[in-house]
Amino acid sequence: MASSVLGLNSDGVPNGAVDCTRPADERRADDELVQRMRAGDETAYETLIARFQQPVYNLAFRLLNDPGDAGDVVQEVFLKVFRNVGHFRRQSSLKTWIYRITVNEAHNQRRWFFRHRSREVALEDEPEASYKAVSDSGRSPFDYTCDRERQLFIENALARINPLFREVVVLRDIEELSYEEIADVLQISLGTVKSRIMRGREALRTELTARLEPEPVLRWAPE
Amino acid sequence: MNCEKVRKTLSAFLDRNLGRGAFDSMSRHLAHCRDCSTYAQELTELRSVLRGLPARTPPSRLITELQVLASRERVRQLSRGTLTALVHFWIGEMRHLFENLMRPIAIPFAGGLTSAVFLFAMLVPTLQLRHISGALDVPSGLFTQSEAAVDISPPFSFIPDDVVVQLTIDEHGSVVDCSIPNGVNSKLRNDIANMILFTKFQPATEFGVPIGGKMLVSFRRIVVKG
Repeated sequence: MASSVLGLNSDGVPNGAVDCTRPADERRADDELVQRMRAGDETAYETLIARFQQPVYNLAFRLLNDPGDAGDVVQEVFLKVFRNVGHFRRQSSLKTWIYRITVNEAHNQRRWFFRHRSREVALEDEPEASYKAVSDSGRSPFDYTCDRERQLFIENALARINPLFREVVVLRDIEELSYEEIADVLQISLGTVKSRIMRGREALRTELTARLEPEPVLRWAPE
Repeated sequence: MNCEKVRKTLSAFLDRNLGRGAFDSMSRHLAHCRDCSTYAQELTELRSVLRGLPARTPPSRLITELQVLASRERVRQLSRGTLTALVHFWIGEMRHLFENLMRPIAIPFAGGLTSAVFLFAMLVPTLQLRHISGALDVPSGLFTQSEAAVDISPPFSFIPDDVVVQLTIDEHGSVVDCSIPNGVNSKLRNDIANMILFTKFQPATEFGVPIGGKMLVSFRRIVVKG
């Protein structure tokens, strides 16, 4: 019963759980890519951009919830990757290393925002610019509107929880990193990762639940 | 296992990050505790909702900026690398420079060259080029005719009439046959034979090689008054 309720499969594994074992091929591909970048191979730079631009942007956007800031972070991340690829020691995977830089840059961006930009007003409003045009798949505009509202609702809730919790929730539930990879990215212990994931999910659940509860109705009561 | 402990470890349970014993214990508890089961279901749905969020796509402007950034950093890295890398870098730069310079003139150059070849091919047949040759040159690509040369004056008087004879000459210049018109008398026939004996012939040539052939020899009487 519990299995069906929790969405577990016949092996007791939650549906959609990620196999966290890193294939050796990916590790070899990472090593080769790093070697080519160190040698100044132009195509290696293009390969790195093509492979990581979307995940890095997605992670930065989820951590900052602002497309402009996410774009700035992505540029900073790739600049650091290009300049420090010679110092990459292969103690972690390339993906983990780049994600670590992304999280750190998002931290810096957030700090900078609170110091300088919190009083600024953006001239360009481009929240829709990051969406691709969607072809007609038979769904009605009402369906799209509902999906969009639901997505905004979740994103806003995610943006309101503690950034420390948001990081682990995003890395685990959106980027689907393993606990070990998250510990490696955030440079924290495995126990801290487990604790933050639990508290982050609980915080997000609480936030969503609070937003879904009906507003108190104001009634006029005659004296 | 009580409900408080279950809730603290439920995330790890859903992520399958528990030991076998704790996993079984959690499963048993969730099978009987309605509140914890409901809570677990909410967390599962929360995970699926988060995973269902569409991936954000970076704007195209950002991708272009990243490519420019990569190009600059690559140049910067190469310019600070080893001597070999530096040499390769400058070779590549020079090659690019050469290609950029040559590309604009490649098509006009090819067009001009083609036009020149075409016009030259059209004009060559109409040109009257002077033939330059030496006396000792042997024609190598043409046919030449046999030639006759009289070495010494024959010790006899000759031929009262005009007559034309046909001689067959072999590759050594020797006369192997002659054809004299029927109306010639025997004396004239003898004179012609004597004249042929005193005459040397050069054989015809084909690509510089002597070959046999025929030639017509005309005898004429010249009358000098006085």
